[in-house]
Amino acid sequence: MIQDLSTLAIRNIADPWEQGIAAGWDVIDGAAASEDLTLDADVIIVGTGAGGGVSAEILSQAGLRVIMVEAARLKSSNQFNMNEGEAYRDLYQEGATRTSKDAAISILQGRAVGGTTVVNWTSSFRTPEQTLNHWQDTFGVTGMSAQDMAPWFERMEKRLKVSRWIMPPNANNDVIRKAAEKLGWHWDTIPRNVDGCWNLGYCGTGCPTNAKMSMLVTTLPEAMKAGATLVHSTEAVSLDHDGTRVTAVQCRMLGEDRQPNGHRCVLRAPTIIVAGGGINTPGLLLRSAVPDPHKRVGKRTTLHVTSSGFGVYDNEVAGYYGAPQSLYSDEFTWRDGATGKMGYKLEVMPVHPGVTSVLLDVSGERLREEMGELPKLSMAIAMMRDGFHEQSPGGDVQLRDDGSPVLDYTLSAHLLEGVRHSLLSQVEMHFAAGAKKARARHSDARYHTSWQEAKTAIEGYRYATHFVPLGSAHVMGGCAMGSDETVCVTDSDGRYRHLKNLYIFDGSVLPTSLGVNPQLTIYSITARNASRLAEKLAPSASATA
Amino acid sequence: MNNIAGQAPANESRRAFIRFGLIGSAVVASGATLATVSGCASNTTPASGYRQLRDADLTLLRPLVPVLLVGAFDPTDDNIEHTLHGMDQLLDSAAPGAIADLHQLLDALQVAPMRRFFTGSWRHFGNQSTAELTETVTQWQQRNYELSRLSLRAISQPLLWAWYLTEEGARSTGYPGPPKKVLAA
Repeated sequence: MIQDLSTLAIRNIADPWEQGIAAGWDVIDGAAASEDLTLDADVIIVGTGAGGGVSAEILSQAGLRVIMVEAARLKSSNQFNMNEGEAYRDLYQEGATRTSKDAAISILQGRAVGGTTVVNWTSSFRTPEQTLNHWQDTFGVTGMSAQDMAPWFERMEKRLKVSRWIMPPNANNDVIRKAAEKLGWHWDTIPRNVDGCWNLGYCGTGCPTNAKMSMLVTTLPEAMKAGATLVHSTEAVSLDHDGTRVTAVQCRMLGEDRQPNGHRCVLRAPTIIVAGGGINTPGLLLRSAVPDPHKRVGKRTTLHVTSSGFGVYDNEVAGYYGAPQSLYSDEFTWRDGATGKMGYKLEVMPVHPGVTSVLLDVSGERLREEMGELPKLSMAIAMMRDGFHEQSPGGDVQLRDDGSPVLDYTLSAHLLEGVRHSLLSQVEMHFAAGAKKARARHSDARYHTSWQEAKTAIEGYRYATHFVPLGSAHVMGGCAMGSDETVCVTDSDGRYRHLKNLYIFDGSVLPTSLGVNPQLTIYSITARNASRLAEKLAPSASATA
Repeated sequence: MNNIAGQAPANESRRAFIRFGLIGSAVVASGATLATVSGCASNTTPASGYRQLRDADLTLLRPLVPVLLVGAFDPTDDNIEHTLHGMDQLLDSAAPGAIADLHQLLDALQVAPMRRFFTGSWRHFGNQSTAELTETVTQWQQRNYELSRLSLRAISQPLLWAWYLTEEGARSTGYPGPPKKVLAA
């Protein structure tokens, strides 16, 4: 009884963008430009992901004229064919080859109309209370206690249909339940932002059924209906400013090959929102030489640095099918309090062939053998909660010679202790769940058939850069919010401190990582801050909205 | 026009990066002269039919394909070339800075002392039999230098990834494949 969805046909899925464009939505394709453009609006939003999408809906529905600019090329459900290679090329930053500066950490980050929300795995957690308290105590973040944020979480959960997943988990996720029950660890079901999910497993290549409530099918279409303009295939290069205000966003248009096609676009508005996400937002600010007296732009960029552990089972796992993330364990997320030893959240990731070949980190005969076990493979991940301890300051976004941003991230001893601890936990988890063999993701690792043998081996590995390959799917920080001006460049309402009309509404305002997958945090903080901005810019419309 | 800052490509800075960046400590460790290495780094012309990989890179990568992907396919010239084109396409989406780093690494591997430092073997990959190169890769992946581990991963990852993204590569794992998306006529 081998699981096989390859004969399943997905038909009759309406493409909201194809229909919207036919109905007159104002979409400008930079690749089709035949001349330079200058456009004016009330608000310019750079980026269309979790921050940009929520901002666009709120501000355009408040009656403001909104223009969104997005570097990625518009791609929607008719083009989401579940092909892994095409998705990496078209929907991920740097074709999914983005890494930290020294290549020690692979960074999977979306680059799409809809941003990372188009390719994430739908896990939708509220920001932990410990994290919100830490922000208040350490960074002076105001108005964001768990109580203050509750109505914003509720609003976005309702807007994006977030609910606990009621279908049975796939066998890949069920490893967490089985092991946790045996070991006495915490486990629970993940809330997901889906509506009518087919449980296929292709969230990461663009949802083929539009069940995932990404920005592409929720806030962005509503913004378009309210009269917003989308300029896609157009990259924000720099912000013009006079030292006190941003006066324009300078953009270059990109051809279908993602290379500049020679045409420019200038966007002007009294209010500018940057929502390019961690790495790209600080990159834009650095290229623009914005006032930054304490040199804090790009600092404190955190990643939820992620380690992995593999288990091979007697029975089929088919980790490529089914909701990619449906169970988790917080057994170790706060293992030594908020600011003690590195805590980490345990989840699994989908087991598609391309990404698995990279994760296994072996070659030759071993790779062939391990890849041949793909249907029986489970891949656990542990997301390190970086940015809380003083030895975990995150990384710095810098500019390469060509102006593109790159994250310089040093693996501290504090982080590597967490990596070691997490590899032990993941391999123990696989054995407890009944794996016939398990191993860590470490370049010295071999499969072991007993936990005791594996434990001894993992304890003996060298924990250093490039010896333990790491990943990240969550980029946070770089424009930290808070009241301490020497550390934080934005205030708690997302306004950039040193330019009057510049707002940062995306994951880059988070002063630490979270301890949970970040989408719901970004949606909710943005909903709060964009609503405050709407009240300021269009008080009468906001009151009736 | 790849330059987002609107400036001319900074070749001199690239040269500086060679000294202090990715392979800086390797240069020191192996005793290779800076002039030797930076002299190799100037060529960025892609090989005919390629967008990122250069002729010299292919002399290193062609012999590596049947070793890193042993058993994946019959290692005919055509199949090897096809796989390298897949790798080239993946690299074509990478940031120019990341490609420059990879080019520097491949340049370094053209130089015997650097090859010795990274892989443990002095001999050019093109002058090793498949059995010898298999042995070289085995010792390469066990070298106790961070940069050795990085260098093997930097080369093998895009190559292996490209293969397993192909229909044939994906199916060889037992993965039945995704559902079919059928568009309305």
